Amino acid sequence: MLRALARAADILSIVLFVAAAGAFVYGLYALGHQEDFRALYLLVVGGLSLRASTELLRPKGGAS
Amino acid sequence: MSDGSSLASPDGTRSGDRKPPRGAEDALERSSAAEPAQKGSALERALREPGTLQRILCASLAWSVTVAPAALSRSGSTGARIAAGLAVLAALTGPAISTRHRRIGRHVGITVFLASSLATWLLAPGAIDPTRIDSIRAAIGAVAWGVFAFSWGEPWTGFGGPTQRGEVDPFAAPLRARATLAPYAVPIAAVGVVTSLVSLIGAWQIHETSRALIAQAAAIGISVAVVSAGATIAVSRGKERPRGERRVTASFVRALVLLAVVAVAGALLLALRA
Repeated sequence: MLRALARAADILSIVLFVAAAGAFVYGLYALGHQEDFRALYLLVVGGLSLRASTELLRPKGGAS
Repeated sequence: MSDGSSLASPDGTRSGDRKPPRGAEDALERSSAAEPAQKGSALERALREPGTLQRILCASLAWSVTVAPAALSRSGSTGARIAAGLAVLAALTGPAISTRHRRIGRHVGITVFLASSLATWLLAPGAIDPTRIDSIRAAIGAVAWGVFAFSWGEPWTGFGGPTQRGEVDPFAAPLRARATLAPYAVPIAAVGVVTSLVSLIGAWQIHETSRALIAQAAAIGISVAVVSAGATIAVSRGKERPRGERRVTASFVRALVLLAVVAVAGALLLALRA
């Protein structure tokens, strides 16, 4: 059970990381196409996804 | 920009919270017993701490090259000058505060300094117009900000850092020999590297000057963040953890909830605007 939960946490962190990478790239693309609001939205979502993905793997009591 | 003292040890505690080895503990006791006898004011003692002066000097350099000219230019408003004053105050006091109150000092020296500098630039947009920026000063400013970032790491040799290569920090976390990498570590790290390269190359495809400048800054930040996060995820998966340690911590739940709220609210706003 614990092993399955750990595996699910690993998969979730990878999914969040890949989502963050995609959001960043698409955000820069939107910035280049003068869609400022969409760009800002995607860059912020990318940053938050990246933070969540590393937070899941950070040891308890690790530096923020 | 974390320094060595914030490393987590294998037993799950932070080195800052950890008890030092016996020898270092004795030395600490001796130094704390001798503390009242130390001459000089609190400011002098703070300036003598390893790393304090280097942080003040580097922040002052970045401020004088990039923030002060913008605030003091003809296009600089009163608000910009106040923000610049706050920035230099944070640059001077943050490192000194961090010797006693590490977390508060870092927030003052890094977060408040960066926020005030950003506010100065936003309140004096004419001074940072890409067409008016002097390229030499811009290059010096970029280097100065890089040096400022490094200055908040380990103390340098000339500023009280270790002078000998073999000198060991008694509070440093012990390193364990690595066994094997977790499965899919290389593809995960590769995603980070590819994303950073695509971001950096993509930023060069933007031709409009102001957007290109923002895109370049964003691409550099994205590259650093994605590569370091990719490396963290690649090596942290499958790592043995102390028994009873929870993976889903309160900070992770907060980060996930914030992500969900921002993602949904932003998507709704985007739909309404469309």
